[in-house]
Amino acid sequence: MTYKNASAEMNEAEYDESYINSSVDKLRDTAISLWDINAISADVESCGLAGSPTKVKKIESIILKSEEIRMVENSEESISEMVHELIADHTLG
Amino acid sequence: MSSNNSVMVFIQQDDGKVAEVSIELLSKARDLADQLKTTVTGTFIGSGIKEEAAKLVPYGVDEILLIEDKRLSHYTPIPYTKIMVEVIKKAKPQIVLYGATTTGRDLGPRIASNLKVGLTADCTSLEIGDYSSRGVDYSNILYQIRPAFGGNIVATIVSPEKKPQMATVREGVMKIGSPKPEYKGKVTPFNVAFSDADFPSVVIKKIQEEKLVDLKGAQVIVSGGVGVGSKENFDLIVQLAHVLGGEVGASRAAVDAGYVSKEHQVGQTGTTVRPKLYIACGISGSVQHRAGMDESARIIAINTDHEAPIFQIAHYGIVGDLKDIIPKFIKAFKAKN
Repeated sequence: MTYKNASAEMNEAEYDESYINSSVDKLRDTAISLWDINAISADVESCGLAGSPTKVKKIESIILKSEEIRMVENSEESISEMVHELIADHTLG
Repeated sequence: MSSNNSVMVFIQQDDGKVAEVSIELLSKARDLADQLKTTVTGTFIGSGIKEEAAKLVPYGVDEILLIEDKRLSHYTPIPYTKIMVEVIKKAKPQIVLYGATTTGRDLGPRIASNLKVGLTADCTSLEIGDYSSRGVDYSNILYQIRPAFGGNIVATIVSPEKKPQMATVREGVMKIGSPKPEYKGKVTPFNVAFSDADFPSVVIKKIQEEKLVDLKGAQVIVSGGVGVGSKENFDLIVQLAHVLGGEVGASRAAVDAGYVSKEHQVGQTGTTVRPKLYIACGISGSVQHRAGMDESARIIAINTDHEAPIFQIAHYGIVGDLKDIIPKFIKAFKAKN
């Protein structure tokens, strides 16, 4: 998304491989802080599955039931018959 | 206030009008409360809504906790969260239900985080049952049932250790029960002390677009999927819907393809419908779409792929090109009608 009056270094510089590679080289020397639970003083009991107030009791696969389907031939007569049934049982009309 | 251990519903209002999903939840809450042998409480927040509150009692509500302030006319998260947390701490309900609307999806997690309790979103079913874990037995727990992993499985989720157990439910999933005018319930004002800090944002203006599509109220829905092929071909869907006196629906894929606007979307992220007749044209029948229409009384599937999953839930199936089938359908209906 481009915003008016805003630009990034990437937009300013012409896109070429050497620009990308030099950026990667700069980042390679950048120190990345690693935080663990102690660093953020997290309560271990609140973390992960053990810390979740919701539990999964059961999982079931969805099985589609193919019952009652009536295949209707793609013909004027068969479609007309279907429409007649739908009108007769007040689904349509 | 006689609300301890009740089944509570957050009653959403928009410009003083109660959201339909809240009435659906009050009906379901009544059903759950009867099983648990407890009461139903509604929490109603807004301005000038006392009369509307009284109209909800016939849906089986024992008590409505009413919080009124001009500044609460429109939903803003900070004061509404503060109110619900105070209400829950005082009333101590065992269950709290919210509609899975923009408001409910914003409010529910804030309350759950504040109270450090569980919240299951977008439930498609709620039941009462037992649960055992690590040698501890819990009885009369709320089973919060919802599809997961793209709708390929159904998960039953429980929050046995922390109360209240909270869930959001999508509109159209629960049915509205018949109101009983003779039902005795009360409306109780609930006082909350506010400061200016509780209202960091103010709704200056609200512009609501007129609703042009009423999928929920439609008895017949003709829906098109990406199989329709183009925006121009979608005219056939519109034509058939018009002839049958129905509404136009669509799958998410058709909306994303730009064939039709989002108001017509049926499915997990669209509208849930239960019409007398649902005609699915060029719709494969993904679980996300089926979640929004599989309780239709009659389903007709039209698709060139005879193995499309939509045929698994349809009552009538026609394999073929909808550009060929729909004109035949229109001709047959006009001739009979």
